[in-house]
Amino acid sequence: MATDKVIVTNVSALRAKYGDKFTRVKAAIKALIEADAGRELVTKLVAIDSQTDMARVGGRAVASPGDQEGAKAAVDAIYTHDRPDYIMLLGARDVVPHIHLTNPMLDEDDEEDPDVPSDAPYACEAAFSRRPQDFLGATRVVGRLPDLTGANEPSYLVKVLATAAKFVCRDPKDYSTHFALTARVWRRSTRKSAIKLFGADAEVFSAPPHGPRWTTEQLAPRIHFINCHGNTVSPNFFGEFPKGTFSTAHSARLLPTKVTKGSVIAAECCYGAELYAPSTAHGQMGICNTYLGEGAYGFFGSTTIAYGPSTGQGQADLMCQFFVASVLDGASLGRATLEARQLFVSRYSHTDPSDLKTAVQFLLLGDPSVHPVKAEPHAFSGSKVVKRAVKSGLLQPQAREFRRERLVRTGTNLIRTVGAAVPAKTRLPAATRRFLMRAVNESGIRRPMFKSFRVRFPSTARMPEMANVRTDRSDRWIHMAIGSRKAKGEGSESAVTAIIVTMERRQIVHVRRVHSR
Amino acid sequence: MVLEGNVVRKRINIGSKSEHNSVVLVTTDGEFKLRVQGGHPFSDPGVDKLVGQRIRGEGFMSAGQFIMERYEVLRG
Repeated sequence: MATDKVIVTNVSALRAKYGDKFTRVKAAIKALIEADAGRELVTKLVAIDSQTDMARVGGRAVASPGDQEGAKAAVDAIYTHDRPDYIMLLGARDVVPHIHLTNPMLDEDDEEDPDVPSDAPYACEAAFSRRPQDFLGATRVVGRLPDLTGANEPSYLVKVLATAAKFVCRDPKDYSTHFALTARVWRRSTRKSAIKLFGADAEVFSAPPHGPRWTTEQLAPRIHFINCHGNTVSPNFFGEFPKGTFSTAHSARLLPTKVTKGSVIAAECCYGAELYAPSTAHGQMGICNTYLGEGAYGFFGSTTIAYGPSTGQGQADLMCQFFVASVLDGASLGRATLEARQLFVSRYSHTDPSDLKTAVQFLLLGDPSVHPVKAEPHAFSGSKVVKRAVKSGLLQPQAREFRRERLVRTGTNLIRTVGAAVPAKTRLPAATRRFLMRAVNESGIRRPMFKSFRVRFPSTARMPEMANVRTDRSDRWIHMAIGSRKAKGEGSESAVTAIIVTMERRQIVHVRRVHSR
Repeated sequence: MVLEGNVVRKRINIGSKSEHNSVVLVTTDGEFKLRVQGGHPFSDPGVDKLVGQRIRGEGFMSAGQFIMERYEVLRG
């Protein structure tokens, strides 16, 4: 019998965390597997620390809970052997590790994240590496149902497993309202996102003045879209206004009892999906963990510092929009995550460093097989003749198989065709440097830093048809000047601006000016 | 872990969604955004008052930030 869903975990890590109480976790996993069976989903558990389990799928057991290379190889072996439609990583980062990828934005002076903890590699065919550009072609439906990092009591994990087991696929009208929240300085951008997702009348709360004491009624909608500041090891999201003044917009401490069961959250916030140990924040778990513990089905967010343009739409805005749109369209949470990754990457000929980081930093916390919203079936599928054919076995619908085929094809095409900008040490051409300096002066950028990147395309991107395209991908460079800018009418600390120049054959072919949020 | 260094103010995360002025601990091993456990991560008066001081802090690192559980201001 084919396996539809695999729960991937490290049993010895869970036993080490929960001791004798692991039996409660075991029972909760069994209940989820039984509930899945009731939904005609064949689910099995694979312990990546078990020699027996891993030998059965032709793989090797991980050396320790932190063995990233081993965990990636184990998931690859499981996927190759079972070809499941859903992969659910069970546990926080101290059970099944994130894969720590090189941070393409890393700069000693201005970026904190030393690397990018990611689950994207688990969704990709590419073998283990630290290079984010290897994981632009996601093909697998993956999500992570986390416990609490560093926990020694399993109630939280038992609760989120029970939420997954008892999930209800609801009518679209149950997801027809939303809670949208933005840092006030980003309200224009967030409003654009909200209008695209929820229509012209979409309400968006700005912080300040709103938050963090939301009423149950305000939080009642099952779709939450949040575009605020976040930080590592912080149980709060923050608003901003005026620029440089931060106020608490959303607080994990104030969420309990106010979350509607079945909620789905997309958070653009930096570190929104960081699974920090509550013990490092005086016992307070993060907002993402709190939502799930309160009965939310899924939380889509970033493990690290996220990016977005000052006005218009880009990066984190797009990822979160694509995810929510797919959920509302009836996709499973896992498929919505995969489609968001694919749609985001497919927008580019090549990904610049911030796009590249965005593509790998967002992940799903929640059971990937959960379908929050019912997809609207075609009228013909409800006809008597079709129903009769299904009942007799003449017709065996394979809609999910077709969708997976499409997703594998799309992801495979992406990894074979999309280029990525990788940091390069090169001498900035004199004319380009002069242009950048003039643009820097005109834009009022102070203390600019210069960075260079080479755009690399995979060898498989050399298709005959590309000869008809007038761009030259073999000699494409990106040069960037970035610094803070003092704007009229604002305080001494204002927007940061980056001038980004794309060059081909030593010719400037594209320029843009990007403002920070 | 224990880190010792000078506390200065500078702009960090330039170009990101969370670009802001921050207090940074400059040590011989590098520069780290400085926070006090449980404090406001973007503007904490308890950290601001350390600017210009030399301190020895005990805490942990997270995403390149040094989050202090306790510290002492070094004189001289």
